[in-house]
This record gives sequence, C-alpha cells and structure tokens, in this order.
Amino acid sequence: MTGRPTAMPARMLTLRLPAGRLSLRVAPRAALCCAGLGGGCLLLALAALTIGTMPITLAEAARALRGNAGADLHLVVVEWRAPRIAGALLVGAALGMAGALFQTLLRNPLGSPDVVGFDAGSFSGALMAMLAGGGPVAVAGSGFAGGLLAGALVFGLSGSAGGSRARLILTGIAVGAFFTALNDWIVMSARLDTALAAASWRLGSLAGITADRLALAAVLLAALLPLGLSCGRTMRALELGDDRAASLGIGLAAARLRLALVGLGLTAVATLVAGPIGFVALIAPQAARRLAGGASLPLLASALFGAFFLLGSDVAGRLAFAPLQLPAGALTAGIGGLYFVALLWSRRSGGRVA
Amino acid sequence: MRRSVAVALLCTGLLALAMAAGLLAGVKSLSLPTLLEVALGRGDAEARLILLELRLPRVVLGCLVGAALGIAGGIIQAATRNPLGDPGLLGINAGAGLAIVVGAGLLGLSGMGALLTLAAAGAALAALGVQSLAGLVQGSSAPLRLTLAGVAVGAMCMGLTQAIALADPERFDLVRNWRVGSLAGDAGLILPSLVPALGVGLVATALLAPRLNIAALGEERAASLGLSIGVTRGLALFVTVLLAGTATAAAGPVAFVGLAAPHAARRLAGADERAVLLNAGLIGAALIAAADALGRIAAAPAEIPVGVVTALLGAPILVLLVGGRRGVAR
Repeated sequence: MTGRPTAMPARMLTLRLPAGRLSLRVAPRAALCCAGLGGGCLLLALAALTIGTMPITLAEAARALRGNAGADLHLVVVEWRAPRIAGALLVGAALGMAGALFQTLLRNPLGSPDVVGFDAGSFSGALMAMLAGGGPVAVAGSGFAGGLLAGALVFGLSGSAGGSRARLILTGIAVGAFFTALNDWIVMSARLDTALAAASWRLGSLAGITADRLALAAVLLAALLPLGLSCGRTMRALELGDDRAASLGIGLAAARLRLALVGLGLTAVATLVAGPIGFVALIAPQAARRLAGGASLPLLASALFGAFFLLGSDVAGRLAFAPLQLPAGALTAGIGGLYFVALLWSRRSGGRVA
Repeated sequence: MRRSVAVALLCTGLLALAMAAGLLAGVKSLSLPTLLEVALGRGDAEARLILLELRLPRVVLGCLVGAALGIAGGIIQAATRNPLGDPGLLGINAGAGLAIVVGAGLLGLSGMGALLTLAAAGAALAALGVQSLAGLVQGSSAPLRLTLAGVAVGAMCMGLTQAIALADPERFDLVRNWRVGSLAGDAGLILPSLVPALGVGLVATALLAPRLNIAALGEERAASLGLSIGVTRGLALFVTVLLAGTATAAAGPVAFVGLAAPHAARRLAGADERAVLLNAGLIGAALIAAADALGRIAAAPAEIPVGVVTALLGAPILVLLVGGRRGVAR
C-alpha cells in the first residue's frame, strides 16, 4: 500500500467505544460529504413533494401522508408524487452504486453500465417480459438475465483474462449498440400506445412508475444495497492492482464475479423501475469521489449522489419546461454531455480516461 | 490497374445483386423474369406500379445513402487514421439528427433544402466537438479516445432527440421510424433534393482522394511534397459532414455501414485511397440495399428499419475489428 499513498483518504479518525473492543475508522471529509448529500436528498424530496402544478404546503403533505386529507390531496401526494420521489431516490442510489462497482471493476471512469451496454441488455430482457405480459417479478428476472447475458458477451468476446481494458470497453460499446438496436426494434414493432409508453420507459422516465414495481424494487434493493456496501473492502484491494490484491489474500476471480453480479443486479432493478437512464452511473461515482476526497470511488457517497442527481433531474424535467414534461433521462443526457466536456477538459483525469 | 478494375467490377456486381434483391423482395415478392420484363418496358400494370413507383425509388435512395455513408466512413478513417471511423459511431449522424429534429420540431422549419442545411450544420458541430474532446485527452490510443468521445456525444444527441420527439405524440409517431434509420419515407419526394448535395460531395471526394494518398505518407513528408495539411483536413471535414448529414436527413442516423464498407474496400482494393473510396461507396450502397431487403423479408408483413438491421449485423463487425490480430485496441 505504500506505493500508492493517494489510494487512501488523506485523514482518518478512529472512533472507539470507551470500554469495548469495538472501533470504527472514519474519514471526516467523506462522512461530512455523505451527511451533506443525505440532507440534500431530503430537502429535494420535500421540495418535490410540495412544488408542482398544484402547490401544496408541507403541513398539508404531512397530513396526506398520515392518511387524513381530502381525496384530491391524497391522490396528488400519496398516489403521484411520493412514489415518484421514492422511485427516483431508489433508482439513483442503485445506479450510483452500480457505477462505482463497474468503474472500479473496469478501472475506467467511462466503464459504467450505461456505456458498456449492460443496461441496454437489461432493458431488452425487461422489455420482452413486459410486452409478453409478464408481472413485475418476471420483468425483473428477465431484466437481470438480459444484463447477465450482456455482461457475459462483453467479458467473453473481449477475452477479459488477457485482453486489454480498451478492448473490453470497445467490445462493450458494440454489445451496447446491438442491444440498443434490438430495443428500438421491439419498441417500434409495438402498437403506438404501447410503443409510446415503452419509448418513454426506453429513454428513462419516472413518470410511469407503478406501485407494484416500486415495491418489488424496494425489497430487492434492501438486499442489494447492503451487499454492494459490503464490497468496499474488496474494491479497495482491487484498486491496488491484480498482483497486490492477490498478495493480500483476495481471490481475484471470485471478487470480480461478486462485484459484477451485485452491479448487474443493481442495474437490473433500476431498469425495472425507470428504464435505462443514462449518465447517472457514469457521473455519480466521479462526482462523489471529488466531493469525498481520496482516490477510490466511495460506495455510499456514490449512491447518495446518484439519488440526489436523479431526483433533481426528475424534478427539473417536471417543472423547468412546464407544461412540457421531459423524462428524467433527457435531463441526465444533457447534463451528461456537459460532464463529458468537463471530464475531457481536465487534463488531470486524462490518464484515467482509458 | 487490372486488379483495381476487377475489384470495382466485383463491387458493382455485388451492388447489382443487392439492388435486384431490394427490388424483388417484399410483401409481394416478384420473380426475376418479371423484373426483366418491366425493365424492357413490358409487363403488367401492377408489376410496373410496384417496381417503378414503389420499390425503385426506395432502392435508389438506399443506395445513395449507403454510398454517402461508406465514403464518409472511408474519409474519416483515412484522414484521422482511426480504423474505427464511422459517422454513426462518432456521433456525427446523431448530431445531424438532433439538428433536424430541433429545426423541424421546435423551430417549425420545413423543406428538404432547409433540413439538409441543418443536418450538415449539426453534423459539423458534432464532428468538431468529438474531435476536440478526444484531442484533449492524453495517454490512450486515438481510436479509443475518438470512439468514446463519439459514443458520449452520440448518446447525448440521441437522448435530446428522443426527448423532443416524446414531448408530442404526433411528432413522436412521425420520427419514431426515422430516428433509428429507415427508408420507409416517401423516397420519390426525398430523392430530387438529395442529388445536388450528394453530387457536390462526390466531386469533392474526387478532389480529396489523391490528397489523402499523399497525407498517408505522414504529415512532415506530405508537407514537404507541397500538400497543405490544413486544406486537406478542411476538405475532409467538409465532405464528411456533407455526405453524413445528407444521408441522415434522408434516412435517419444509420451506424456501422460507414465502418464496414471502407474496411471491406481496403481488404479488396489495397491502400490507394481513390480505389478505397470508390469501392467503399459501392459496397456501402450494396450493404444498405441488402439490409433494407433483409429487413423487409425477415419480419414480413411488418418491416425492420434498415438502421436496426445494420446495427444488429454491424456490432459483431466492430467486435471483430477490435479483437482481431491487427486489432486497434492496444
């Protein structure tokens, strides 16, 4: 570890219980960053609950959530706005964490599941199950299978064992193009009304969120997000390079497989709720790293930033161009373009772009 | 010289085969004798209607689009020394598409002339953006940098195009075919305005090809031989943007034809850019005609848009190019 001192956050605090043997190492800046992002998510959620075509005060919203409000208020707050906010936060967190996992796995800031085609594969599976009339469980399972297939194709075709990461990423772009074309075809061959719903989902939108899908996603993420957080130690080891990680006692193949499976699971759940939303998984880990300091991608901060970013995009898409409603995916695509300018402009990150 | 004539004849033969397939395939499949009868001015009225009024304009449109994309890809590959050069992969077609949707959908412009100008402007912006973004990064191979920048810019443009289309269901239905690349539009209406732009593009290509041969010697040598690198680059950009923009305006953003056609041409015709570009045009035309025919046969009575067919078939070609022994990913 001495070779790359920057791989650790600069300052760490160690918290110990006075009597016990329990102690916890905390990076103050990262903790502050997570607290700030969490607070930001909360404020944004409150704002999203109250602002809109029908303005609502916080007290009214609280009353509606407790269940003693008029039918109108109940409809807007409980049926429309609250599920959409919860969906944005969950999907954003899942995407942010999946991005951190894959970017570490592929060792490239552009190696996120939306660039290398995993979410397109996931969406192919989900779309087929949806058009075949499957329920949310079938859609989620099929989406996961599609993502798994895309991942297997990318790693298999690029000979990941001996192949370079550049080859892996270019292969991922090809696989992504293939599945994107497949999705376009599926969406186009559907009837216009289904196609319009599917196309909105295809670009990534939280407008058509359904309660059963949201409930399923919440259950799955309750298992997947802690699993993802538990990958942190393995990620730190993998960042040191294959040889050093192996010398630390990490089983490389098993560690990679674990990261990939958790990442694919998170991507599939996010796709189930909101379709393939681009650029969140790409941007969140990098932004979180800059905020939290240190050289490695912070998992919790990535998830929180993803949640903040997606909820913000959704609110902006709902309000900024009213009465026009833009899907969140359109906003993230636009912001993604700006991010690319920034990323490519900063020479410092030049070595990290592949 | 004999070899280049043979190669050109071979590619022309391929194109003729693909065109024949495009004319004969469809919901009502026709036989070769019927085609010959109609070509000689005989045949029954129904066959004449189907062949001359419906299918011929579409096949010709597809061939023009394919030729434009094949040549544009060949020029990009030669001028930027990027074997993965393709107006689709590099986001140039997506830029043209975004400009068209913004102009037609939001600003209310109409008429093929205005759309072609918009398309060329959007393509130019995207090309310059991708080039300068990729140039800012150091420390990795040029093809990877350019491709990543192109994919990113393309994804952004496609996302915005989709968003604008989605805002209005009527508009969405109009562009949902065009957005993925399709020849199902009214070919007879589009063709006449396409020809002048493509004519200018082809003349400029003929001027550019010898310059690309000299530029292939390396910048310093080419300059010492009296070639102006700046003029060559500017001309290459102009032709690429004109051809890719026109093709996109006519058929939507179609990817991978500009990647595959020049590679095939280079394998067949060797290193002379004049021969490469000529054959890339022929092969590109044949590819689009064949892909369109395939899309009409495979899902009859519905049809698969040509852009989807080329992406489904072209993505494996990218994998091959990336992974081959002379692979570009180092």
